[in-house]
Amino acid sequence: MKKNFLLLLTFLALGFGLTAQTSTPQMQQTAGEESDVFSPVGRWTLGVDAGLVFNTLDAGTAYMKNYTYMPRLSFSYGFNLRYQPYKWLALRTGLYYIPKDYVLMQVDSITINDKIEVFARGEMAQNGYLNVPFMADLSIGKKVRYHLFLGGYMGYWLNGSRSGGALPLMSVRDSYEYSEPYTFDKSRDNRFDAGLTYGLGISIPCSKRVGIDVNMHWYYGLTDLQKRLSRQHNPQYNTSFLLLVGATYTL
Amino acid sequence: MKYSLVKIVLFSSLFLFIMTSCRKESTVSDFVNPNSRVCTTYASQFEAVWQGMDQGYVFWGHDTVNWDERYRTFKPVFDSFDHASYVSQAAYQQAYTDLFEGLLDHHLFGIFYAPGNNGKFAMVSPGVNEYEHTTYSGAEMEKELDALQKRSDLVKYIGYDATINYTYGISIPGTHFALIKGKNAGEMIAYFRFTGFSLSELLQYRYVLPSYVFAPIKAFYGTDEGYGITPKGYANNDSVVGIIIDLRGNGGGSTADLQPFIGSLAQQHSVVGYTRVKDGFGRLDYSPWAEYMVYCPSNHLLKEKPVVALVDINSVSCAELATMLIKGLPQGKVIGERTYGAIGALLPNSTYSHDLFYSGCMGDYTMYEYYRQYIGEGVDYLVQHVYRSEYKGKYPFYIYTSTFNMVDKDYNQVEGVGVKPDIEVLFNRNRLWNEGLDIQLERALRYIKTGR
Repeated sequence: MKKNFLLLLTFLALGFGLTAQTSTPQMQQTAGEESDVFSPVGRWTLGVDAGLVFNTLDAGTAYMKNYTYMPRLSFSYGFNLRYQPYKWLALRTGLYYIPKDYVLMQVDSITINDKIEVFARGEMAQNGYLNVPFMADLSIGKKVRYHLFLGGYMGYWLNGSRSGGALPLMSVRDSYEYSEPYTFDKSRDNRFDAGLTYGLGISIPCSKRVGIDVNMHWYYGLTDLQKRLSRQHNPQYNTSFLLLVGATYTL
Repeated sequence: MKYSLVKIVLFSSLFLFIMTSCRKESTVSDFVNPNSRVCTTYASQFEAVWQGMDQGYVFWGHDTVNWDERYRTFKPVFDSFDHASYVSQAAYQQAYTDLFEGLLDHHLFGIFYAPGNNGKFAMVSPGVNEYEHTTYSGAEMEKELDALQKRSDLVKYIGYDATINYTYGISIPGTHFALIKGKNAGEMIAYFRFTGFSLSELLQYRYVLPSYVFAPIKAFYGTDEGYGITPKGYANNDSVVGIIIDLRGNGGGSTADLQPFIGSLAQQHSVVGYTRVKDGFGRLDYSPWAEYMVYCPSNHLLKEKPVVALVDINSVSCAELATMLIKGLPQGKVIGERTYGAIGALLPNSTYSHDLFYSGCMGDYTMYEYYRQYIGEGVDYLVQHVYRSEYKGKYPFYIYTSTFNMVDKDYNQVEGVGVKPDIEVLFNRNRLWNEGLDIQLERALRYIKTGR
């Protein structure tokens, strides 16, 4: 709840910030200037973008000591489509391939026959998702426009792979390495993906119809990666930050 | 527009604030390591056992027992024990027997203790229940060895009976070596039988114990140092055209024996199957499958020849791994009955097992050590003189269960079903007792002589 409260404050602050910006004298001129520049109002805009995604798996570890989920950086790409009924508001959707990867590390030690043995293993989990975001795109600015995105997304867990290894542990286990596709288990894996998206962005016009976008999106998963199999359940959620750079074309 | 924008931003922020609270709360903060959980009531002992099994049992991917249903059924039973003025030993035992009934793991063995005026003690072993309901009769080793020694085609026999081992105060498996005439003149079949996979441990005492203890091993392998099969071993003798490894009644033991004593029957490293451990709190959270390889030592069978594993329902654990290895050899054959089905390897010490792999043996390991130390004195002695003083006010438990889920080379589940023989020959007690004929051994000899 504390995290959510901070989140709320951030957005409130952001909201007031935007209000302050919109009240500046320069912003009052927008109606007059629209006749001088190409206006996207009432038009469709197509865009492609690509960039980095930084994903975290949120899951409890309780007594699994030294068992850590670490975020992982990957590459995401996709296209977007937006319709702009008003200058300050557009409706935006798209299709994105988003790797929601993470790394699992376990480093531990035990004493066997008065000898300390280090036990270490690591696994890189790569999970490819197709996500379709639906966002309200609120924007301000004269030529360079500043965007606030709010909405949600739906998607599908498309594919996955697991690679990793472990150090040997006396006679208990040999060292091993592996790299293999992830085998989905219908009774365990929830491949439907949905959640909230919000973010910030800047769009820079290059010509009347062409522009450059730099966006930062936050995909906050609300669907558990696993189905509930037991009365005791440890839900797992993805949270992804995307930094995307792309180009747009207004039809 | 200004006020609209403010309203939208505020509304959206509020919406997001509410929505981000929609993630389900994790219950893992309630999870306690069963190795360190302190129980002081019947109900808390049940909770710890149920949760430990829910998280650390490695066969949920195959097991058909509805563990949640078991919770709903037995939680009220254990709750009622805490409120009852008297709980009988029989009721306590029955509750745990029924809780574990039908679980696949044939290694599974649980000990539970509840203090009180008389101290309640319960023990479960669901695999034994399945074993007792099979139609397989198992073998009688003494009679089989007797039949072996009376064979007319016996060339040589060297045996060491495990029963003598108590003289030395260490656990020694019985070992038996025989040479039996082959199909053609001058041909022989080498036979080796041992009752447990503790040969490597036994060989550590070769400077202490008399040499006749090691004679069967030395005859077959050509060495009593546990380095595989040297050229001096009968197994490598050119006149030996086939080998029978008799694993009937072999109760298993240390996997350290597999490489020198079974892996040496191959010409190269053998993938016996694949293993995995639990990898999270979810019932189906598993690590990827890892190859279970038995390495071939440099001293190995020089020439490929038929190798038969003779097995029965009393071939357990490591004996079953050995059976799987022999089954995978180019000239390997398994003859006899299905094996017991306790194949998932384990680490009995719960600290090594559950604290490292989050699967397998769990609970108070000292309880198991006391059990092994004093069970010879009888359960009453154990409960009245050991547990009663040691666990005053505590409700300890210990569960011996597989650390590793194992499947065969083709990813077939073998736990609870055992290794099926290539040629099934059921144990025939009447013929063994009345005619002195071991029909399983006869079939193995026929296979080596005829190739069929």
